[in-house]
Amino acid sequence: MLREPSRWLVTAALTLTILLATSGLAQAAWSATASGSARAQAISMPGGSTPSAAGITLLGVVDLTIPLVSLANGTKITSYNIYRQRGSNGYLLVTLNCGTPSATQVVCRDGNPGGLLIGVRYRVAPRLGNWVGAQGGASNAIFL
Amino acid sequence: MKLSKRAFVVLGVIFALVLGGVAVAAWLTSGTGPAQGQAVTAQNLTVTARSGPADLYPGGPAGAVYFTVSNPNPYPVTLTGVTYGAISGGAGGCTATAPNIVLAATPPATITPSLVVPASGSSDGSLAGVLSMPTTAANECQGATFLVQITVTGASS
Repeated sequence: MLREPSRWLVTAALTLTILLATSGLAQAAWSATASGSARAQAISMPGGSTPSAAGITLLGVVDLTIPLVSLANGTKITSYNIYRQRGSNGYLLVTLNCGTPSATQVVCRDGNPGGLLIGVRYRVAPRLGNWVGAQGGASNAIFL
Repeated sequence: MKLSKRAFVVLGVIFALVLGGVAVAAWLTSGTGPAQGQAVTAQNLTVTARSGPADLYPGGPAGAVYFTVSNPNPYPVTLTGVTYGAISGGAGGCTATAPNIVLAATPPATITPSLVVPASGSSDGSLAGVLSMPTTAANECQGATFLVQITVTGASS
């Protein structure tokens, strides 16, 4: 004998169908994961500029003007290693007192140039932390 | 026409199984084996490093990392999340360790905007502010290349 299904049975069957269907649709957007490497690159230091030297006879000092150089991204470098050459001797790293850098240059003073008869020249290399760039060209000679 | 309770239940179960089967067929894309019906076997995405502008220097802001994601599947994928792993690379005298390079990003991070990799294609991605170089970085780190392990996550789109 055929009987009409009860209301609760119809409701249960439809609910089950909808749940299965919608859960299947949600899973259709599957997740994706992938692993590998990404790369970063460090900048290289530029070479130093060519400084210009000016002797101040009354004071017995040399003022060295160093044009600032920049990293490839435009960052100005305001610290420099300064190398001094007396006569035909080799360039030696020296420590000079430097003023506050401007936008384009920094001026450092050598209180003991020691180049009265033999001449003194300077070369500079940009410094950033432990990084040091190549030395630039030699300055003009000062006999002081 | 009237149906018996048994017939109704059987029809309901069959209907549910059919729908569930379709859904599963569209979902079996994890690459574990052949799928049913119209589904395809998902293949793993690959991430490879690529070159980008150099931007790391001692004491500078955190730099970006660059990569390419390839998607061999016949559907696009949208990547939204990333986690970071070990750092490698460097150069002679410049190890990929804390005095020279550190992870600046805090994982997990989001990829903003999300990276969409087309079906059977690839997309170049970059993430800013991932690695930074302390002021203690060795002179030998000039121009050095570093690699960081990344895991990107997302979903088909």
